[in-house]
Amino acid sequence: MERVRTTPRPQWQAKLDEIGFPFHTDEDGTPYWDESAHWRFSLAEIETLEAAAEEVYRLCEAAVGHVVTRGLYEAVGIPRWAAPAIEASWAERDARDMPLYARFDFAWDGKGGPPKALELNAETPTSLYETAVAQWCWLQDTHPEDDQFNSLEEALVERWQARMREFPGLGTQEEAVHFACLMPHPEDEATIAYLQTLALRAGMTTKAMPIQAIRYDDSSQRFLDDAGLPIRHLMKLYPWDWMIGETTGRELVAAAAQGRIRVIEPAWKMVMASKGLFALLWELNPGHPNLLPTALDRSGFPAGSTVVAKPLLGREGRNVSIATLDAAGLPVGQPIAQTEGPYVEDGWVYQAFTPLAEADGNHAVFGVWMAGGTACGMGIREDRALITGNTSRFVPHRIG
Amino acid sequence: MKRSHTVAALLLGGISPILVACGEDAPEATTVFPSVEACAVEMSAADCGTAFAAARQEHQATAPRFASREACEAEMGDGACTPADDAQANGQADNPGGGQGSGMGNVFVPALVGFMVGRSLSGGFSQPVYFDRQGYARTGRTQIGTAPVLPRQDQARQGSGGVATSSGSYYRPGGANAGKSFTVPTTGRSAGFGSTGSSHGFSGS
Repeated sequence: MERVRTTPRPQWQAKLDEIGFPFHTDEDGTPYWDESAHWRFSLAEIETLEAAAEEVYRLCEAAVGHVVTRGLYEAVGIPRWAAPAIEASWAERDARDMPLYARFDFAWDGKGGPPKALELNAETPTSLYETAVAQWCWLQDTHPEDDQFNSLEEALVERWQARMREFPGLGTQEEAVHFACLMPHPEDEATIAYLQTLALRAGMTTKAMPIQAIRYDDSSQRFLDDAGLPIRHLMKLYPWDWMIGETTGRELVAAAAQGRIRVIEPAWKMVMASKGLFALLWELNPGHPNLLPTALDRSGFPAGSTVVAKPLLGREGRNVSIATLDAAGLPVGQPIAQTEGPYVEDGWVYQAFTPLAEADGNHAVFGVWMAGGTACGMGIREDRALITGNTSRFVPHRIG
Repeated sequence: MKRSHTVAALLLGGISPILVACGEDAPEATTVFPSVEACAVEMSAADCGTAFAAARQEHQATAPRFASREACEAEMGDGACTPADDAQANGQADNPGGGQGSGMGNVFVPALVGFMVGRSLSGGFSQPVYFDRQGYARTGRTQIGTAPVLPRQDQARQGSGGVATSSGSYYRPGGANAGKSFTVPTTGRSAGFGSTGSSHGFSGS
């Protein structure tokens, strides 16, 4: 693999605007979409990432099963009372509570060692549209003869089609899927609009709405949309662990446990999305080549280890710190890097540090997308800093 | 096979169905217009007239049909229906609630509120668009998108320049009745979702 510096397309901003991606530049004027470079991979390298993602996903599924069958919810930062929804949906994970998507973050320098899974964003993965559409259009414009690890869009349409097979009413328009996110929130609205479009292509009836407008009717025990109609299928671009902590969280758990509402992602994804799952993964698969030593307690790391601390239920690279530990597992001196944020109350998970691919002072994390258990695309985020966050630049890739 | 071959489809803002294309297959696009006039801002008037006529014919052929205005409005919304043979020949979307024609007897259909025009190198197509009571945008019996979550009447009333291309500025049926079926329901209570994210500045992971 190599990072190739390139001249951006003329009027690249206008081109991105045109395809419905106006989020190419951050508020402070720095580019979020960065085509002044791209990453070039060999097909063998892509196949290595693909295989690693599918392998680790299988391990993640097994770890979720381990949590569910043993009731280890505290270890992943989830309240026990949410278990009925998690367990009911887990029992239907290959059918009516099938997953839609997820995105791994992989660290890999391609220099002989295997890719290492840093985490799995199993509920609300970001950068969907830039991965599926914007970088594909970039490839068509700049390297039309080349290939890209990117069948994300087709894979998601197939997932919607699979859901329709489970719910025939979705195909006949007797039932609809409601797509909800925080509104106003232009980026999230665009993401659900894209997912909605793919569902429409599969033949579903859909409706978008603000998640804040969802209502609950105590007499019928139903969640209602903004027109007062019952919500039977809810695609929410919003995390489960937040919803269950909000006003009708217990009602949502009960409705999901009884199958009165089908949520996408299903409740079992709450377990898969916890950063704590990676501690369990290491415990169940010690020494696995695609995993890093990870634990809920940092005392087990050898003295001198460089370790990354992350909030169990953190997001966007916030509240992450990297430090070297002493023999007692305590940080030596100041952290090597750290970020601020709001996720300070839910417990921590500690993971051995491993370097990201680095070139020209940029650190790149490889986001491998999953549709169900199938790896189907990649989006790359770069940062000058060691910790990838919400403002890290999206850089396209090609296979050539 | 790593490669994606399809053209991406995007429903901008959850409102207006737009197909986008990239690379050598471009241009291909789908736009919903409320009127021939709005369409003619972007395309030739002749093409718009042809597209409207085709959409109208398609609508008459494929829209759900009801034996009475009441039955139709029960499903489609108050003031959202029109007699099946209502002329609509002036190139405007329907004037629901109006229309005196009854050449086919007491058959009512949802009023046409716009037409969707697709353009590509391989030719264009045209589809009628109407809304049902729940705010689903439909063509024939197929749902294609959603109405604005809250009616944006101010925008919809603005000049024809940018009307209904991608900004979600169209139109509930029924003029004075616009927005009627979007009244926020009083059933139940707020589920309270979204409060955590609003305070965290959420945008995924």
